[in-house]
Amino acid sequence: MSQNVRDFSRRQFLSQGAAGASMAGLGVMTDFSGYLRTDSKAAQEDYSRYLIQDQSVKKLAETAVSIARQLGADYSDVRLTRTVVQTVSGDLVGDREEFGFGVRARVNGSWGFAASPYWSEQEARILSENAVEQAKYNSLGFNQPVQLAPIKVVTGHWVTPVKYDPFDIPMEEKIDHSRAWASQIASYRNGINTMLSMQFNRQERAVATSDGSYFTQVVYQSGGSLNVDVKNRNPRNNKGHIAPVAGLDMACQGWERWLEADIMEQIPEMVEYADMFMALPIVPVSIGRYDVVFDAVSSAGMINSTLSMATELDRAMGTEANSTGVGLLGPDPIEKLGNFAIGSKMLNLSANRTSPTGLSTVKWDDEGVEQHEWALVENGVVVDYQTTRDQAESLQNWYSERNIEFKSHGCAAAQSAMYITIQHPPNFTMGIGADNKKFDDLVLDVKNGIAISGASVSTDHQGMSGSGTGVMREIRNGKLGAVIAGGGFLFDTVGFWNGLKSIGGAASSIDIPFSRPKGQPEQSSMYTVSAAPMIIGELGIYDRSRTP
Amino acid sequence: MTHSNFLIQFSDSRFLSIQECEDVARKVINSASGGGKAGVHILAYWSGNIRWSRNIVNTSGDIRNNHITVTRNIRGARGAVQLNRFDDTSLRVSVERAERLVESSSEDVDADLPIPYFQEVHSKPAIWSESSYNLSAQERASIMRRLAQSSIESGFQSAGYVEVSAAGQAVMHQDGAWMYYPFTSAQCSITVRSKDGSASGWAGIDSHDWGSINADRISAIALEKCRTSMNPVRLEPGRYTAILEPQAVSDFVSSLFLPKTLDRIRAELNHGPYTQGDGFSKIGQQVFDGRITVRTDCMDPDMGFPPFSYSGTVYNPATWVENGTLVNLAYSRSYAIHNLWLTKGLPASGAYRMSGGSTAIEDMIATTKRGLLVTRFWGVGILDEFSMLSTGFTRDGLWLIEHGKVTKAVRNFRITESPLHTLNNIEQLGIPQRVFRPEFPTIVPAIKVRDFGFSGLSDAI
Repeated sequence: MSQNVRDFSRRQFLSQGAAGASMAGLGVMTDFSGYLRTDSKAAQEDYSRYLIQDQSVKKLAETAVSIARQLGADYSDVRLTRTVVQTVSGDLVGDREEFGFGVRARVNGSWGFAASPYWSEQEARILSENAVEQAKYNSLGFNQPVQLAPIKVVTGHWVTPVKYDPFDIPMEEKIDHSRAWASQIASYRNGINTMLSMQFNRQERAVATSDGSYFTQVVYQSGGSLNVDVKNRNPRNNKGHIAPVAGLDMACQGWERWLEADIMEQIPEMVEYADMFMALPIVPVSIGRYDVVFDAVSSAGMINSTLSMATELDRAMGTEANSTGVGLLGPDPIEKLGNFAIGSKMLNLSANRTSPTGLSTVKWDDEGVEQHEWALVENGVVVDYQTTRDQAESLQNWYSERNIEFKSHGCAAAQSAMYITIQHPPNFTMGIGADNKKFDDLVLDVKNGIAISGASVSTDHQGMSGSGTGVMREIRNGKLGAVIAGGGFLFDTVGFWNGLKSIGGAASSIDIPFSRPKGQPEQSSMYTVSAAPMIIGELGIYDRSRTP
Repeated sequence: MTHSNFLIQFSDSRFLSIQECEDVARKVINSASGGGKAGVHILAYWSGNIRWSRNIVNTSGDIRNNHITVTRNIRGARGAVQLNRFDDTSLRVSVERAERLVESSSEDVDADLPIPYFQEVHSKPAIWSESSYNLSAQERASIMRRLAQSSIESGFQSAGYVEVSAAGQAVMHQDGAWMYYPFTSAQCSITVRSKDGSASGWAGIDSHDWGSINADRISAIALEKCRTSMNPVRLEPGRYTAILEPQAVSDFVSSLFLPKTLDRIRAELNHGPYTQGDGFSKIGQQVFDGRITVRTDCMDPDMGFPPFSYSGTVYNPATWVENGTLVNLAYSRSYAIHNLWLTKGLPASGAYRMSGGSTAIEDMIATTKRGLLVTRFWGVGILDEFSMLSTGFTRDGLWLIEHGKVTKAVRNFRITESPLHTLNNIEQLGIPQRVFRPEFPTIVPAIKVRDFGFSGLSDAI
């Protein structure tokens, strides 16, 4: 791949920049994007150049920061983003490029934020003035200046390590590959269909803060899904079995995500499994309490819907009260630390934005906090939260009691510079079991119970209770049996995790992508949950279609 | 700048005017060479917001952005790219990118319709509000302070969100179509919680016109709902007579009127609640209580929404359900030409008005021996696309009614119920009101319904 031509002529930028302010009535417009497109025929190759590393971007960001400071901001940070997204879904292809320039300013502990797509010096002033003005109005009548957690000034450039930049690969090549996989899979045997969708994201980000940090990052996310639909060999039964090819979920990787998934190698086993599955007897759900073996996907779904939400400090404090709901650890989440058993002693959960292919992984967050790993739940007890610089202060006493450095955990993020920076989920890693068991080993440990795979989970607006469903099968004397139709499980979060009896080992842990809407206006970001299969004791199984 | 008489004069340049949109679109059309057709879709907008919780401001924002889609249709195939800048180079490059996508794209089903595309005349709803456009950051902050103050004084915690926005939406096609329409929107929603987190009340509304939104009243309702939700009792799950306030009706039954649900082709392909099976829809059949009529019309003064979609489809007035009978389902222009020998499509926008009655909620309560009064639902998901059996939770205000009076606050329930069942078990109907459903103006009555399924307990507050 060609990661070479990332530079361009500054002189060219300056000359074209002035010429661009052509739009009547919009004096703020500057044609900043033109400078890098020396060859207009190279529309595709254009994506292979980063814009963010140029000194003129740095100058814009630093200009906006200094204007905000001059106007009276105690603190400000400025982001410029360029997001490119390509999608292939069947025969539909999509291509999107979005620029953003966002200024966040703080006055007496209140924030203001302004954003637009236009990268120009005039715009730096407009946005900074606007953000500071809002912050001043917002701070009137309030006197609660919160101390921002300490930070080291950082500078540098970081790129998700990818082998092949997906935007160096022509769309034609991606489509050729997708068609080739689809036809090869279909020709494996009669009665096989595929549904394929690819997505490639790249976000270039420059951040300047009034602490003096300036850094640029390029984050890649690639993946999608390839579902294989195997028709029943029995012609009287037209119901098929649909399963996804493994290894294609969104991850912080490049085009290699698709090339290295060993797609064709998985097909024989998938078809064999589908045939076996379709021949299984089907039994109606019999409600009651059972020991339930969750596959790794289902474990990740439960962590995402319960623990990852509960440990958002801003949610626990009530910031989402008027939208998706407060967390279950509020209204005083700090007093829960060290004494609230959210699960059995086996339950451990850590957070990071450092795991190599984790979707939330960056080198620095949008406030310039260098990334690290930290514990959220230790031996079933909540010990920490997901934080940003302005949330960390409430944890200062807890940290000093425990002799932990007082700092932000680096969860400040935004969908793009068009959105204000707020706390977003990091990647989560479930603590694994000591005896290195796999899903099948956990099934062996259950006398009479249920196994559930690929669960989807939903909860109430406080994450206190919820329900889930997936592919459910009976377990009789450690063996998987009939498929259970129409069943689901009901849970209360604390009871569920206190029923945790056994966890699979490292080899059985897998990474699952999630995204969560947050804030108003709503924004979302992707993150990865790494989880292993587990056994939950005495879980309530119910008939989903039963009405009172 | 030249404006048609229905267009507003811009006081500044927060989003693209008609002239600016036309300039952008012409540049795209002019740079499309080598045959085929080109199209441009623009949504240029400004929005200002403020968000608070626990009586203090969390975030605020002032955002200008554009959604621009450039399409190229060549030899029956289509390529589309999206961008948010409109400088000359970005526009030219986007046309080239779209042309490259054409080569690898699928067939365009609408490319060779026997009747050529012509520009339909769209209606001109009054959906521009100076009051929305002029609500400044200073005013937003002062409104928030005033609302929080009432919660502070009564010892409660207010969380809320106010947003106003203004936009210009434009569509241009190479074959001559050109439309532009400016509009504003505004929303206000407030949740008041007790300090210990044991009670919560909500109220909200949206409109194109900030001037029609009484934020103090929204705040007072949320506060009152919270105050009367203290010390909730736990009731047994089961079927109860339920009085659903208009918001609860919208939260629960709107899934029946989404563009996807109302799609005629989907129904004829045996999907959704309006399929009859075997390739037929239920058009002509009684689907709801005879008192229910459902219409969509952007000229309805309470409903006003942009008269054409981002993709350029003109929203003609539609009646979906008349006196309980399904009379229309939505279809595209290509369906109209191929299947109905018509030239215009009948798109659904997601907005709707449901007819009602005249019973006040107080009278519904007074005539109820035992039942539940519901503020809103949350997290409603569909379990079965045919019966529309759904599950979700009650939220932010649920009370027991005994012998004609509201007697106690009640712990939240999980619900398992079908909106089809609800719209066929109506006892009484209230006066239709606009509710909170941003982007999809919705006007529904309060409904007193028999045997609503409260299937399980929820401790969430």
